[in-house]
Amino acid sequence: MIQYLPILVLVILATLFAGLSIFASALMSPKKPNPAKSAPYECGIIPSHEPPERFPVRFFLVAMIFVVFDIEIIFIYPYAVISKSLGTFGVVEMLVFGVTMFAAFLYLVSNGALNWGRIRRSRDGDSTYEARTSSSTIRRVSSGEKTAA
Amino acid sequence: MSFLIAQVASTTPLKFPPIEYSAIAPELIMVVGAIAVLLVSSLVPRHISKAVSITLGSLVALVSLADSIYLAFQSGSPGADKAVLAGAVALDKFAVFFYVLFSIVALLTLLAGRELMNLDRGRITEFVILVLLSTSGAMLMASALDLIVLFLGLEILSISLYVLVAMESDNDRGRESSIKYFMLGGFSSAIFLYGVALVYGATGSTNLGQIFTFLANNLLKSNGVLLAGMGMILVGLGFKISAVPFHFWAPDVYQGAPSPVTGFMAATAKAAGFAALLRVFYSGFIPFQSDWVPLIGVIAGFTMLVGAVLAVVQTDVKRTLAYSSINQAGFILLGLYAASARGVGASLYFLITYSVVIVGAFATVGAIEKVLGKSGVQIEDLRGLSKKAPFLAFSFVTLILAQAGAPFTTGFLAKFNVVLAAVSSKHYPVALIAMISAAIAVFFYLRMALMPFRSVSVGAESSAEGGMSLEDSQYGGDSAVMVKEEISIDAKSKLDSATVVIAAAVIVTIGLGIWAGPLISIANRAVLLF
Repeated sequence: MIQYLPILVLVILATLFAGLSIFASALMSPKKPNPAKSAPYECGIIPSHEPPERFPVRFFLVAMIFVVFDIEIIFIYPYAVISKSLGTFGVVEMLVFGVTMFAAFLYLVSNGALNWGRIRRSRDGDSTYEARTSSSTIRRVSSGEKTAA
Repeated sequence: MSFLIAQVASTTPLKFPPIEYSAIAPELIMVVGAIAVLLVSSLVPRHISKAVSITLGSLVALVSLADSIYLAFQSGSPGADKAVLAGAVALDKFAVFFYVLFSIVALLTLLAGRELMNLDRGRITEFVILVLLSTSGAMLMASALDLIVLFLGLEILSISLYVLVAMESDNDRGRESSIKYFMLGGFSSAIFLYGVALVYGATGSTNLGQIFTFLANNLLKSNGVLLAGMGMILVGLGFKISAVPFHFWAPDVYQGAPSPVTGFMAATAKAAGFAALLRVFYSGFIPFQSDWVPLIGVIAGFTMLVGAVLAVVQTDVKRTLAYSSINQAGFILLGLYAASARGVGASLYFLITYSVVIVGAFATVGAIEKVLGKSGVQIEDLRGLSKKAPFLAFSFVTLILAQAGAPFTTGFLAKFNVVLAAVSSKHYPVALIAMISAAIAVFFYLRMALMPFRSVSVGAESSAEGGMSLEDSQYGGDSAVMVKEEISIDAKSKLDSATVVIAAAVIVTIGLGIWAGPLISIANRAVLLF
């Protein structure tokens, strides 16, 4: 039981520290509220663009390509360990295996699996938050046509 | 551990069994061909890649067919039947028979899919590759002498099929049926594998030859494990052949999948399942004949009855064909139930004729879908088809009547032979059920076969609820003009590859139905290795 004493001490210290911090900030902080501060979800700067943009899930395809090579490695490691006993037969088999894998990779690349597409930069005047002030937090959602262009 | 290290450190070469590549050449051609299609289609310019992959894929299937026929001639000589690859794969007349069958079906599917698959440019390559790979799995199933190799073939076949069913990107029903097929297929594979494990536990081997030898020479004190294993293998393969009560996926999947894929699935997957079933139960479990034969009889009876009765109440053409194919599976099982060489021969004849008919029938349905401009054909939609598209109507009726077992088509002799085999094995009750179910089936076959000759005007009201849009009723007044236009469309699209497939299926069905001798003797000679 004695082994758990340090943990108990740590729990008590952590609780004390958290409690004291809350208490101290409530007691000592200056209180000068303004509308922007009082607005819900206030966090300083008014965003100029809509953060949740659509983005292509290209990483999914890259992950699939990774899996292809991952599987290849899974087979190559054991082969490397007993390559001497497998002899020429093993080399040929691994070559066949490698060619098959490479054909699949080539197909993926030719179908644009590694094309990340045109990089889209947001232009000036594309702001979707023109109407947002410190007093109003209504979010204007763009139609999507403007950002896609 | 030290043993392992010693093993690693030693450079003594491992002993490999001799590999006869010529024995598995059709499989190899399919796999290598698929990879070649993959490579070539990614290297050629995009605008010709569709034509290149279809042409190359058909060529691969053709080469495989040629090699299979070569093997068939080879296997005519005495002593040609043998187990190769350390007894894991059989090169016998039975396997070669299925090599030929699967190559033909793959070729027909590729040609039909060229016109009838609704795919974007990149996808058609994947369609070709998956058909080829799936076929190689089916070939492996037909020639496997080892339960593990059989399972390997089963998975190669199935996984390609799951993707093929969901191939069309704008077909939600296809995706839904793919998920259904995947879930149930996964279950059935697991059950099959568990059965293999139990059989291994009971007999000490996964090799069918060794299982046979063990069972023939040893008397098991308690055979519960073996019987459970056999039952599970039967269930796993029963899913693939859509035998009742493992048939629930079939109507949904057949309806949802693109028509050429449905035809491929109904032919290849079912034939591969039957090949495996025949091989496993005749080669491996024949000493336990008295245990599994009655079970097959019960399944065959229920499959025939349920397939025929439920097909009667369907309104969708593909769904009706799905139930009809369940019904047909019962007939093929009947040959297995007969448990005689005659029964096996009858089953094989049924399989090869059924495969050609079903590929042709679903290609026809696909072409009708194209003519009608909608996916999913109701039986009511077939009204007036004989005027709109005479060739399609004729082919459809022929292929439907062949399934019904009309004389002068291959379907007649197929049904006749399996029932005869069952009768000659004195299985009278199930033979009676077969004939009753055939009589029930004639009802829905005739309903579908007569519909193209009915006039549109009579059924205009009833087909209105079948999804006729506002446009149709608007142009109802000058329907004569519409019909004329559609005839010209049909005439224009006469010489596409799907038409070739349909015509080939019709010619084979009628031609070999009249001149039946050769095919029957081929099927009867395609005996198992042991």
